[in-house]
Amino acid sequence: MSEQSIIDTSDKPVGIFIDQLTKTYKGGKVKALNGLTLQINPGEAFGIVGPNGAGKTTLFGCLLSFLKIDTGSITIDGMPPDALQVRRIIGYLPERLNFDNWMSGREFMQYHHELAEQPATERPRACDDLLALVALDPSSWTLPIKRYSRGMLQRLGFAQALIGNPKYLLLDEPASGVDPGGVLLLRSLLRDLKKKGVTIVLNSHQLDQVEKLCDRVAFIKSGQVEALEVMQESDHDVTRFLVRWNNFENQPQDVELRAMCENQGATLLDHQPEFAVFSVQNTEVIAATIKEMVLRGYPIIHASSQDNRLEKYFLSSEQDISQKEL
Amino acid sequence: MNWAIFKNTLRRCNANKLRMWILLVVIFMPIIASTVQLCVQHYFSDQLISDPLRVTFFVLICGSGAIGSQLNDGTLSLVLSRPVTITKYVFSKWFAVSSASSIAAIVQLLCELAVALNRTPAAVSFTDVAINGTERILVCFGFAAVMILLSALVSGIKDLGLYLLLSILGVICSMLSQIKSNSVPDGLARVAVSIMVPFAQQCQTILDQILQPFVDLSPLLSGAFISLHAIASYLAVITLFLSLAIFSLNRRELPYGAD
Repeated sequence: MSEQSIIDTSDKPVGIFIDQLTKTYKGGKVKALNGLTLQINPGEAFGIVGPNGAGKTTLFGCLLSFLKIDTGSITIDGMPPDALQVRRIIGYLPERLNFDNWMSGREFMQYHHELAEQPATERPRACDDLLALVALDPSSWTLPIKRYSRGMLQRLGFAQALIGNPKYLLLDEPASGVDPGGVLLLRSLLRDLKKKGVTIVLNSHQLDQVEKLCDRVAFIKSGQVEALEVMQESDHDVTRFLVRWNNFENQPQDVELRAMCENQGATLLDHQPEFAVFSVQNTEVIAATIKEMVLRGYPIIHASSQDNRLEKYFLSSEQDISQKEL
Repeated sequence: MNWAIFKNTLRRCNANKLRMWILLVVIFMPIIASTVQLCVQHYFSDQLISDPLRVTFFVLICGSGAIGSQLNDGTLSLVLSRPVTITKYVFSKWFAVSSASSIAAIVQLLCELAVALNRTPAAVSFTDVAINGTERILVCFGFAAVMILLSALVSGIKDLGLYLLLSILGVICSMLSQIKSNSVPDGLARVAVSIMVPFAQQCQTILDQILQPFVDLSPLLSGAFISLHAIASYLAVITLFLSLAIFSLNRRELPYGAD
């Protein structure tokens, strides 16, 4: 696990640059984005996670210029987000799948293919190819969209986002309502797109999905980037586990905990008043470490493997809330 | 002009069964009415071809919710995520609504012509019919601009409510403008009426011009020219209303984050 500064100092002419973005609602009473600064490099898969109301959806709205920003700036390949040229290179899957439900799936694809200024001669074949790519059952292509299930809508939405081979793909909860097979397909498709150099911006609550796909993940809270996590391929070989303890009893000191971990062959990654996260090279060390903690009288109330590194941010959020409540 | 949006607007209208049924009934109303008159009353009304201004009804059917329904159901945001300018979007919507209602208006005129030819062929003047048809198309294109603006201001088909409100305002102005000052007792009331009546007349004139943009082509029948003022006024209303619709949509935030 490693963290880096939010803005890369390298000077890149392309990519998404968000600088000190502020967006308020209700005449400034509600601050959805509060000086958010972010850089998304070309060709990377970038995840955006955060609790509800953190500003993720507002950020997407600003990136697509649906919402008017108060202060700050956004540039995509050096252009403002409402430039027509930007819209030619962006594919977008909305969270709320509000499509023209009187159309058939195929008609909907052809309509968006035409809106995306794609060649008419390629239209039927290109649209059918995309529908096949997202594995939407061909028998449903001619059905009205109003008869589609949530999962089918999600696949259709993803297919329309791919029209015109976009350079940037903005996906808002792409796996919501999709069956496990669909989730695997989506992950595979996104990996292929990433290999082709497509920049993917993924807003999802499915942390596992984000961690497995993204190169970097921004944790957004209260309209700001609270942390930026760089995901590394090698990290997948390491097992993490989480231990939570009673906040009010005899808690281990950081130095003591760190020394105990070293003795057992584990690494202390994070230590908070309510929990600690460890990494180990093999699962046998987990049992030995927990046993040692019990012997030392640590007030353990929960221990589990932590497949997802991003959960810790949400645990911190929960902790903040519980402390406020107290 | 964006042909994808043009076609989509026509198909969206066509997909609404209730709308299509009402449209068909109104189109064939002359034939239905003549048949009913003939069978029940054994009588024909004198008017062979109806007033061109009546075709505003077709615009109301085809154009209500043209933009508002897309704002309401959230499909507009996906359209505007494509390389489409709001100007092109509004213009395409206006052209689609105008074209659809013009076709309906012309088909209805042909029905009226068929009925007229069947009843009193000698009374039919094809010049009158041609002028009536042209006026119908002008009304459709003019009034469609009004509906596009109203539709850009509110979501769903609330634009019909706005139109109704403006129409009621027009009726009130019309009633007020007919008050005769000598029928009011002397004093403050008469002063008030003397101020109010011209104001109401002005309001009514403006409302008539903006709610029913229309160029009177009847001078052509007598070999005269059409007033340049009438043409300029007609074009100004269309330009103003479409510009206001574009301005309104440009200022609007799409309900991306709203449920």
